Amino acid sequence: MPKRILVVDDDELVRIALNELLRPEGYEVHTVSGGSEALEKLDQDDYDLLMLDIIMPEMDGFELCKRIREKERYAETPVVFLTAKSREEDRIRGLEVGANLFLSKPISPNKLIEIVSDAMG
Amino acid sequence: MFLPLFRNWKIRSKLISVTLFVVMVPLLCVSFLSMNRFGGAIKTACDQDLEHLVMNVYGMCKIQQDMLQSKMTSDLNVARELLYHYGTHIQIVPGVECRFNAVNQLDKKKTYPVTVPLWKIGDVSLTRDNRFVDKVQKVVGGTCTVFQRIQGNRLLRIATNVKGKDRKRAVGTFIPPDSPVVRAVLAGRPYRGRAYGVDGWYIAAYEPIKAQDGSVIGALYVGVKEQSARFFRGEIKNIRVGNTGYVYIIDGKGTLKIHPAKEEENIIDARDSAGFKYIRALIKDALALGDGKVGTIRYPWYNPELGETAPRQKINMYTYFKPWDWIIVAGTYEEEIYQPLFKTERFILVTVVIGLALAFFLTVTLSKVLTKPIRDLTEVTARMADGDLSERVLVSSADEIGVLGESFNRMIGQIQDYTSDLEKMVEVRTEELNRSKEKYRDISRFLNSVLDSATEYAIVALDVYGNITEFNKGAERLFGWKKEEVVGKQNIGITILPEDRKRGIQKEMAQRTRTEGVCELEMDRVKKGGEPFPAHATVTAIKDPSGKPTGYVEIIRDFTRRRVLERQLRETKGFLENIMESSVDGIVTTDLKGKITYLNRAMAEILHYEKETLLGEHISHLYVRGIEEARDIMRLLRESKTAKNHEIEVKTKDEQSLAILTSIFLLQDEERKVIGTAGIFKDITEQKRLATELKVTQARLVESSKMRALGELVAGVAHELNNPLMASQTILHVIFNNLQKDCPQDCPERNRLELIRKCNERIGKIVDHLREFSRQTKPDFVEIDINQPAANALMITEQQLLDHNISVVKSLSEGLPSVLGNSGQLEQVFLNLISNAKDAMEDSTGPRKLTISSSLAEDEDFPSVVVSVQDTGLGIEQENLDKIFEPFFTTKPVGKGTGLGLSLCFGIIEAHGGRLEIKSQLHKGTEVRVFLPVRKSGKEK
Repeated sequence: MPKRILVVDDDELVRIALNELLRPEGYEVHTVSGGSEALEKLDQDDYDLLMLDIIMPEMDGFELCKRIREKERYAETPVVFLTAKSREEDRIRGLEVGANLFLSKPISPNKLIEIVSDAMG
Repeated sequence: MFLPLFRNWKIRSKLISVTLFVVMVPLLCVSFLSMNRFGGAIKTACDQDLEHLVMNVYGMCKIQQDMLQSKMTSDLNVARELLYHYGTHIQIVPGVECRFNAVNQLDKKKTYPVTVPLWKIGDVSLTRDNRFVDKVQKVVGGTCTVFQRIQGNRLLRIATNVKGKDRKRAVGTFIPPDSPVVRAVLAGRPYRGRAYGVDGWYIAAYEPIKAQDGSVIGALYVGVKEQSARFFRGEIKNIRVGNTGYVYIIDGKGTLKIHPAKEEENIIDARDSAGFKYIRALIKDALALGDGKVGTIRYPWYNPELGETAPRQKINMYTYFKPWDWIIVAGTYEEEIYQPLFKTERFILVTVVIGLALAFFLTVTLSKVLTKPIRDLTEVTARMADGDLSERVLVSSADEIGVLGESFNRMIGQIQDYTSDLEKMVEVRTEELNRSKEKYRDISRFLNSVLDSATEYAIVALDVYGNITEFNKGAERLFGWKKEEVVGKQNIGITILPEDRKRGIQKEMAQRTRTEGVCELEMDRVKKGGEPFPAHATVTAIKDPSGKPTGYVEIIRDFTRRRVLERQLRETKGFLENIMESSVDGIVTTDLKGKITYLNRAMAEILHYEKETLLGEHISHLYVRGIEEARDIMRLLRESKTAKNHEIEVKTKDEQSLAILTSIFLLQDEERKVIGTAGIFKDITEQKRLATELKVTQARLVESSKMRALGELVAGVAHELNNPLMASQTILHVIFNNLQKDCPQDCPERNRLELIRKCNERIGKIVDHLREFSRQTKPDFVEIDINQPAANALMITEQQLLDHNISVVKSLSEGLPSVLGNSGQLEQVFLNLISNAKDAMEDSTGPRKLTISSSLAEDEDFPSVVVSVQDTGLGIEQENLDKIFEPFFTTKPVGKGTGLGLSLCFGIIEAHGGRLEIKSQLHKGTEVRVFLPVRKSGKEK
């Protein structure tokens, strides 16, 4: 069963790019554009990795992460922030809300693949 | 009182006396002893001589006596023989009686008629017949007698040739019965010895005539008269004792038997010159001593007939010659007999005397010799004591006295010096004394006039107990007492309040005066009558030369009016002070010299000094510009009497500089004479600071808001760009991977893709720059030495600069305080600045010099370090200088520079809390200065 990744980002280009990048690696990549959609998706299916952007309309990445962590099913699921925000306080906040990793955009594709692979175990 | 104490005698006397004593004592002892012994011996010898003399005479007598006696015995034998030659025995013829007138041979007075029978022997009759006795006499000499016993135991001489005084035969005399002769004869014993005959003593021998029946009927006698020892007499007379002495014989009755002059004289009652019956005593003693024992008698005697005037001691030695009843006396003047003794004594005496004299002489000489130096010394010292210091002792020996003399000379020398010094001193002192006497007199006079004229001041003199000894007019006026009432009668206590007196104020005053020299007391005093008033008293002590107080002087003033004035003054002063102290602004007054005479609380607070510290300090000490400032102010004051709203800077105790607005004006007294200055100081530091800050803040705000707006914009842009960039990169990555499979080697598509990748890269960098520019968060700040990033930046660009023929001058100051910042970012800033400088000098024709320097910044609000990057390039035009930090502003041709550099630097430096400054001159060069605040605990702004 291939690992399922959920990508949450309001930017379509990013969604496409990540999908294009990760699919050949053998992952099942699902993308949503917002927090509410993401939560719905999470309830519907099981995901092994969640990749979140932070700056999004309606619900930002932090809020979403909190909500995700509230879900019992996803309490331990690796959550990775992938965001343009790169300040220390953002990083800390990210980890506070329960993310496992905090990555800054832009990130080298190779590195991203590596990280994902590590996170998947 | 007898002799003065020995130890007070002179040395000589001591010496002499001791020596003499030492000499004398043995001498005397010896002489005394010898005198004693020898004298005794001599005396004894002399005595013995005399004794022997006496004994010799005695001996002679004895021999004579013996001889005579034995002759008599033999004569008697002869007589007997002769007698009995006639017949065998005496016949008593009866019937023929012869009558005699018997007479006692002794007293010859009474006669008794006596009838005796006729005696006959043979044919010779004996009675009244002298044929027999004469025959005996013819044969043997001497005398012979025939005795017939008659009644009453008497022996009658019937025939004799003993003659009586009448020169007739002593026939008919009889020997009394008590005679020893009679007794012996009638007892039938012969008697030999001395016997008294008719006319004297005879040396005789008797023997009894016995009848046929053996009874004694008479006696036969032969004898010689004692006196017939004439030769004897002559011999004795010839004996000389001493010079004038002689031997004499005296009988038991005191009659001189043999004597040079007075024979037959009875001297029994003779007295010596002391009146003592010495002959009697002599006789008594001689008889008592007995036959042959020698006695001695001494008595004083003098012969006036010989012209002697004084008695001399005579010595007689005597012995008793019993047979003849002779006392043989030999005697002479003692002095004659004791001649040898005297001679010896004299000799000893002379020796002693000579000895003494010799000793005395020697002692005297020796002592003289010994004591001469001492005496000299004594003389000289005596003279010295009298004041004559010129003498010196002549030292001639090296003994103790010599040493003494030496020391003495030295001492005198010193004394001379001292005395001359002393004399000089005394002169000086006398002069001084005279001068002070003068002064004293003047002062005395002066004081008296002061005392009298001082009517405003009460001057009172007291003794040590406070009793009043002087009371001037002023005191009379002040206290109301008259001088006569108090001097010598009252104690100063009468002017003191009773409760003060009880407190012991007088004692306190005395104590303070003694210890401090003067005592000033403000206290209420009392007038005569009890009215109190405030007074001021000053007490001083009068001391004697040893420092002991002998009295006090008190000056008292009525302080009533003064009290009132004081109170008014105090009130006024208080009021004014209140005002001044309440003021918020500083108020300072100075004297003419500029020394601070007063400053209020506000001023002290402003300056952070204690009031007391500043009083007396010169006002210029407070000015930052110091004396210059003071002079400027004075100039202003001189011109316009006041310096209004003059801005100055003062420095506080903690070296802070404060901006002060001051108004200073001159202080004048009633006569319009300047007596000082006064100034009001308003601390406008805060104001100024705030004004400056405001300006800066305003400027900064303007800048910041601009920048922030810009930053936000840029951040937004960067942010927007992130996603498409990432997407692009990602997709490209995928395409690359796919291309790997399809087109492994050298595909033209790959190259194109590569180009796109490079574009992405640049886009990424630009986005990074933009992000950095807009960064609002502070990265990690640590303590850095500003020289580090600067040096690093230089190091990186060194080669490049050299390649471009740019000379580098590095002048980074050592020991700069550290700043808080990010080393990487600062490095970036410097790199940027260096890069700009390089670009600026690229087209420069002149010298290309890049100077980087670091130092402590001056004139900053807060301590800062400044790094300066200076180039000798083209410079920047003035109108561009303001825009220089705007992002995207560049003068460089398109493609050359993004125009982001300086804006980024600006952002970084601002984030560090510092600022950038640009100075530029066209065609000369540009200098960019980076100010960064020093990392100081608690002082960061």
